[in-house]
Amino acid sequence: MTQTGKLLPFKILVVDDEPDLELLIRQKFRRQIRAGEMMFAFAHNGVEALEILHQDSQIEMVLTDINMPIMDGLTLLGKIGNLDRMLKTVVVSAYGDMDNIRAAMNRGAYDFLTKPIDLNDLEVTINKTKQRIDFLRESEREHRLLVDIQNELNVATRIQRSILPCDFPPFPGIEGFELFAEMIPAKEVGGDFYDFFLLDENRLALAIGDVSGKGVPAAIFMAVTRTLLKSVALTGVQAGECLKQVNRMLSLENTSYMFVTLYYAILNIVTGEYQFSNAGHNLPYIISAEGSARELPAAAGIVLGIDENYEYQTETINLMPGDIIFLFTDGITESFNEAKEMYGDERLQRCLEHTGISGPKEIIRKVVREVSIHAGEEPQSDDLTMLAAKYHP
Amino acid sequence: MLIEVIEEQSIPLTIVGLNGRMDSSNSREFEEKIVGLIQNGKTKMIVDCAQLQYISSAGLRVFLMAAKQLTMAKGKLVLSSLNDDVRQVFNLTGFSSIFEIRDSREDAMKSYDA
Repeated sequence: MTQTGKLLPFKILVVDDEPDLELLIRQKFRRQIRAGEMMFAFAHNGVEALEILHQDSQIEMVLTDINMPIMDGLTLLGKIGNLDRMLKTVVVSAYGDMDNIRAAMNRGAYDFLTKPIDLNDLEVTINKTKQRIDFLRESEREHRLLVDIQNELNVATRIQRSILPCDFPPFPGIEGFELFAEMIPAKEVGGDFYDFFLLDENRLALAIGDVSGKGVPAAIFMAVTRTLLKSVALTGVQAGECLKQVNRMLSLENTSYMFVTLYYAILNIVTGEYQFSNAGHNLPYIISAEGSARELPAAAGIVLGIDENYEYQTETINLMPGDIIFLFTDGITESFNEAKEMYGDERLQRCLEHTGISGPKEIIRKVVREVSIHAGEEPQSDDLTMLAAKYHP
Repeated sequence: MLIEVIEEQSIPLTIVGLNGRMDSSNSREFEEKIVGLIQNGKTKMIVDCAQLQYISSAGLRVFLMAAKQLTMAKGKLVLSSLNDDVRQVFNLTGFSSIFEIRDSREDAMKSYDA
């Protein structure tokens, strides 16, 4: 649109009750008119001028005399000020008529010329006015761009919020576990997500992930990953096979070099069997019923989306009744304080250990509180995402 | 984050030194710098991470992009001198297995001798 705009002529409305002016101007600017650089319209008083302005929204400059019949130039200036469009007015007044010139400037005139009009001066003034308008248009465009970016960020927030399950307890009537999850988005949305769903009456699927980068691209990549994961997981494959298939689909035609870390686990809520596979995500913690907390190691697997043939391992442990699996994203451990110190693994482990509380929700709330105290006034730069599940047969 | 580019004439190759924290607020700057170098035919590259204190996933993405583009251009990317925190991120995400990583800038330069 902007490119075509530059090819359009600069349209100027000349308002003067003197008929000779039209001839003089057409003569002076004949080359620019022929070349399509300028276009002139003429009116003989303020009322005519307003009519023409209503009909032609592309006029960007008005050159007006002050003393005219029916509606004078100062009144016209006031009316133009109410039009709410990009329009610069240059007034023409008698030489030395400082009162009228001041009045015109106070009513929003952009510049003034004196009579008799010096056509060379007029040309300079027209060019200067055009440059000013081009500059204003450019500023306006940039402002709109900023607004668009802000809207885009809001879109990302909505995508992220709308697809994460947030009803707790999630599966009323099904016992054997307790579960809670929370995501606190950063101002500029990252691509964090979590998910949980039942594969069958005994098996609960848990997932947490983090897409590289931020904003709408990350949010869309996240939404795609989550959908792929769920559709593959529901076919009942083992954890590693599930990541392998999701990875293959994400890697094909991934030209943006985005990737996603993903930890996927399947908890048997009857037997306590806990099967998991990790694609480059932070290792979770396991918190025992006695209150000890330790990192739960997993084989290092590469992040999803970059090596389509990667084989992900499946590992299995057995949970003890009361064990809690705490999944999180690096927004937690890489939360900075004002001294640019990260919250870190050690603080997180201390926070999870011997809490004296035993519910997933309470534990997540405690971490949120402590991370917030650590961060102080430092703005949150990444999403904070956690999912905790307690085996509770 | 500071980015320093040194042209090593003897081999020849390009050494990009990173200093500070790389996250989504400045990874684009690094991306533009790297893309510019590759477009100017600088296809033998070392990224010296000795002074890189932190890298987020947005930064890893640029490393990945650089490695893939350099491979396509028949060049290569060698990383050197990762500190323990950055190294841990590379290990955890599996990036250690797809990048050539050397302990020092000198070692990285030697990898181009062959």
